[in-house]
Parts: sequence; C-alpha cells; structure tokens
Amino acid sequence: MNSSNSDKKKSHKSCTYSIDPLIFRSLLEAATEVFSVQLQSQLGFSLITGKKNLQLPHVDIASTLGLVGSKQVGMLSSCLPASTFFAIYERLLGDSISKISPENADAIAEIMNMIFGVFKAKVNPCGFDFSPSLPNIIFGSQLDLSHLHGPQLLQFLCQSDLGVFTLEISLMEVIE
Amino acid sequence: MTTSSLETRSKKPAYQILRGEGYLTLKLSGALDPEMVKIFEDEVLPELFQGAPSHIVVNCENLSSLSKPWFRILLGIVHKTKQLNKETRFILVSQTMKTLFRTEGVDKALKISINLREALVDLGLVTKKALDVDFINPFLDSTIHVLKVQALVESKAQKFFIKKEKDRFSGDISGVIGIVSESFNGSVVVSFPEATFLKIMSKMMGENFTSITKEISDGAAEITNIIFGQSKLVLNEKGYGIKTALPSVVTGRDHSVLSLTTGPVVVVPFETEVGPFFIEICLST
Repeated sequence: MNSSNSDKKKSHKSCTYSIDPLIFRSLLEAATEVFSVQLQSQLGFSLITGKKNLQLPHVDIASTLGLVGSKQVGMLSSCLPASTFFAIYERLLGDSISKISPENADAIAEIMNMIFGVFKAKVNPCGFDFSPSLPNIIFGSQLDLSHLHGPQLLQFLCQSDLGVFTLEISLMEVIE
Repeated sequence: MTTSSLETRSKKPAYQILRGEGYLTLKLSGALDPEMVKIFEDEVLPELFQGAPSHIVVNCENLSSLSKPWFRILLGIVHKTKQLNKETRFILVSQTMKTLFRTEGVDKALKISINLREALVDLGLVTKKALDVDFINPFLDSTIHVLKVQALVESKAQKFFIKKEKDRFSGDISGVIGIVSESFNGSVVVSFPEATFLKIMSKMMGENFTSITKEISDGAAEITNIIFGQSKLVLNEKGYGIKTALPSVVTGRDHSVLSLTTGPVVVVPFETEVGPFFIEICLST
C-alpha cells in the first residue's frame, strides 16, 4: 500500500487528516461480526500501517467500497490472496472453487457490503452519515491496491482459519 | 441562470435564486429562525414571483434547521405557485427535515423530489431516459479536456455501449472512484493498458517512464479524481447532487474490474495518440 505523498497533501489544502478511533474500531468489530455470523470464523487483526518490511499476502482479488458522508469521504477496501477467497467462498456458499472468475468474484463484494452494513449501523448513530458507493471487485494477478490520500490510511492484517487478507480504510475530512 | 443573494448577517435568511428554463430554484441555507420570516416575506417573496410564472424548486441541501413559522412561508410559496398554474418541489431534503415535515403535517403539501433532475422529471420539464446521456457526456468531455490539459494528449471518445454480462475489459492500471447521490450510487473506473498509461504519465511529468512504479501509479487515481471532479461540477449544475468518495488505484497485469450492480454499466472506449483506454460508468438506483 502506498501511504505517503507530500505532493497530494499540498494539492488538498482544504482538507485535514484524521481517523476517529470510533470509526476503525467499528470497522474491525463489523468485520469480526460478519466473519463470526456469516462464516463461523474468528478474526484476528494487527495494524500494519507504517510497518516496513512486512511480508504481506499477495493479492489476487480485491474489493473497494466508497464511503461518502457530509463530513468525511473515504474508501474501504479488502485485498485477498486466491486461497483465502476460495475458503471464504466455500464457507459462505457451500461450493468449492479453484479459480477466480466473474461468476464467483462478486462474493467478496457481498462480504464487503455486509461489513459496511454493520459498520454503518455502529457509526452513523454516533454523528456520522456514511453512505456506500457501489462496491467494485478487481481480480487479476499480482494486484496492488493503493488509496489516494495515504496519510489517513489505516491498514490491518486480518487472520482467521480461512486465511489471511488485508482490510484498509482511508478517510478525508471535508471542510466546506 | 441568474443569481441573487442575501448574507446571513443580522438575522437575514441565506438564500439564492437561480433561474432555469421553465423553473426557478430557491436555495435555502443555514438555520431559518422565526425572526427571519418578515424580511423573507418583504424582500425575497416578491423577487421569487416577479416575471413570468414558473415552477419553483426549493433546494434544501444546505438547510440546517427550520423553525415552525417558516412552514407558513413554504406553504405560501406552494399556494401562490399553484395559483399561477405551476408547481413547487422540494429537493435534497435531509431525513431530519423529512421527519419534521411529517410531524408538522405538511408532508403532503410540501412535495419532495429526490434531486433537481427528478424534480424536473416530476414537473414534466425533462423526460426520463433509460440511458441518461446527460449523465455520460460530462465524463467524456472532462476526460478529453483533462488529458489535453494535463498531459497534452489528444483523445477521442468512441461510441459508448452498455456492458453485457459476458463482456470483459481488462487493464493494467485502473483508477476507481465511488459516487453517491440521493437517488443512486455508483462507481467510475478509468482503466489503462500499461503502454498507454506510461506514455500519458511521461507526457504529464516530462520524464520517460518505462514501467509502472509506486511513484507514478497514483497518477491514475489523480487523473480519475480530476476527471470526476470536473464531471461532478457539470452534473451537479444539472441537479444530480453527486458526492464523491476517495479514489483508489489498482495495478496488475490484465486485471478486470466488476461492479456489484443490477443497473447498467456504460463502457466508453477512448482512442488517443498514445494508445487506447476506457472508462466504465456504473449506476444503481
């Protein structure tokens, strides 16, 4: 993930950078809840933003979901190796797959939608008003996903019996 | 369109009147307190109804609160417009304001349309199309403009089409941005083959790039951001009420981008002097 770019900071002078702890805690709780309820899997997290020389899982499939609120806008994403995706797919839908295709790739967006649904239910009553854009799914080989406005990016390494993946959130406060 | 406004200082209501073809938009902002009613009646209402009768669209997007005496004013606008054989629509009304309309019992009289576009459809001023060309064209125009200005690259949009379920388009680097409005959400993807992207970035940065690196990959997100920013300005002038998420950029040879939607996905191929690329616009109501 690309997490610093001073030029971009300069070009967005009307913005400030911060992520409310409530937001990322709610995101992790939402992911935990979805994995527990929908996939019967316990998730563990570690914050990896800013940590160098980490061996991150290679990415074969990713999902992005735009976050739009009146005070903040951002992006939620998740990046998975194929093995984790296959395990999630099988646990979610009961079918075993061995190749990522357009026909099965949308399962990850459904998971992302569910995580967002729980996340929204947690944060919006606390003064936020996030709405989701349509989720996008990207698949290919050796993908690399980076968010614009890296400094407000938080990236978590998630581990469960289904495998490893990363979960990212970037936010930017909008000042009118 | 013409504009007039009053400042919020000394308890004057903040408003703006924008004249469109066959309609007039009254944009109300901030907190409308009881003491502002008199000045609104004396100064704004006459201005609102001067000239040829037209439909009135009340834009509530920036309205933070509305005191009870203001309902009399709003009902008066609806009534006066009706007398002139025209109609009034309230747009971009927040959930809080909708609840207030209901609790005050005025929700039947103060008719709400989601946004200006929907209001104009409801008022019979525009027709609703299955594929809204007015929505697509600003993306075409701003893409051509952005590449020309930022990278001195001339580009030409090819005929756009609706993506079929089996259609697959792949790129090596893509900028993805989510969009949200009151009536729909969606996403826009700008996807480049590596060769096209490298040539665009080389022209843009004045340096010869031969591979996609971290340093230049954000350029795809920046281009998406600028294209979208310009399109958003045009679309919001037309009343779409769009808000944008943050863009992200994906690199990876021959990757495909799918959208989880039941709505149409419009693909716009572009030809440039440095190679092809395409844009996908996806909307869901």
